[in-house]
Amino acid sequence: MIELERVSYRYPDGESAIEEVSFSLSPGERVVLLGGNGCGKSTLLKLVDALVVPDSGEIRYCGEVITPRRLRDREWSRRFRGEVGMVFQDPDAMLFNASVAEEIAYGPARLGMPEPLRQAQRWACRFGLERYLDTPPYRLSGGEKQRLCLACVLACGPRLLLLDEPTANLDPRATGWLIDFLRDQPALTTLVSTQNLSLAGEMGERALILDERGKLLFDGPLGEALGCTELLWQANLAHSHRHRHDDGTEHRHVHVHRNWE
Amino acid sequence: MKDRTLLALWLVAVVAIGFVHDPAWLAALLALALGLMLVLQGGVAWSMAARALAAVALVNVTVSAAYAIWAWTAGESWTTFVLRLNLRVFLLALLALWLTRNIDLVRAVDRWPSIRFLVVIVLGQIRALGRMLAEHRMALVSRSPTRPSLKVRFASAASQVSVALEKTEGRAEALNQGMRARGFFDDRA
Repeated sequence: MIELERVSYRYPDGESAIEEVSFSLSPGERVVLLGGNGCGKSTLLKLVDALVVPDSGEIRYCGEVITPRRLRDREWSRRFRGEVGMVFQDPDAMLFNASVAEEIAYGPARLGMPEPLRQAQRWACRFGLERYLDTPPYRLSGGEKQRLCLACVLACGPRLLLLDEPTANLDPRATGWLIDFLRDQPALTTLVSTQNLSLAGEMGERALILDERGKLLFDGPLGEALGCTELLWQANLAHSHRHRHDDGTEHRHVHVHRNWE
Repeated sequence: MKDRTLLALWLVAVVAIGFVHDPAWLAALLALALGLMLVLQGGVAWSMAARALAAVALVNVTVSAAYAIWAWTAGESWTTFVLRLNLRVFLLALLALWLTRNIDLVRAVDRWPSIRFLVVIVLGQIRALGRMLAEHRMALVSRSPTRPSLKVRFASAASQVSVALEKTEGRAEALNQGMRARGFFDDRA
């Protein structure tokens, strides 16, 4: 569905963000993008969503190379933006309409879907936002905004969903709801970025791990990645601190919290 | 040293430009500034000029049009005033842009700790807000299967401004509390 081949990207100040990353996503795959702070997870998602252009390498969507020229082709761009949806880490970045109903209806209306407002109602009900249909989005709580963003993107019927740290603003109950929701979408391809190992196992079967220089350290089964402490340590996903025992002895070792219970 | 000298030169230039009222002289100064930038920085000077123009265009056009309408109804001449205003504001914006591109502001004011604190805080806020606005722009592109209409872009811009104001206020409060917690304001007690 989407393929990245030796993609590199530098920030405008010249600092390297992503270095020679290659991978591909097949339809229906659930992939988790792991890495420590500032390793380029968000930038990689933006590259996949064609919001930033790689300095070198190629990104292909359904076999076609994404180029600025292709993105200027209205028909192609319309198809791409309709089929690839991204939920940003900061929900405020995505919300600008006067009411929740208009916010959800925005995408479907631009795609020419029938009865966008009725669809918005349906999606609002599905996401527990039906009480807020006439409320301006900025009045919602962080978790409600996050759900609204997800509703906005899913209302367009995407085939590929990119989620940037989707649980960052969610309380444990809403997190559980999101995990269940994503599990119930077998046809949807998802690429979810997170640094929360205890949730990663619930959000995908395959892992992509970036190191702190934005290089792909690992691409393979998530279980294998979570089982390799050395790999997680390399990617700044494991921590080490001193332990003091009752008998007064102290020792230091690497920790990984893998299970969410 | 270089940063401080350039900052001092810029301050002198800003004050001096305030004393020049003849549009012909202002035009000559603008040409001189652009010429110097072209010599020192090559083609980048044109992109700086375009950015400076874009930064002041809306305000300048609004003020110029308002003044022209008022002068026309009052039967007065408006050309000199409008030329002076536009040339002066454009020249000042161009110099400010050139300054920010060419000096390390923090280093330029490192002799004055209070001003340095202020500069660091302001630069930090600008960077955070710049990042936030870039994120908003990308989110709009990502959510728009077709090119957003002018109305949608205005709605998005309004929302960006409102979020920016809210976040700036929140950040300023957090910053204030953080500085207070670290004893910053106790120095003069």
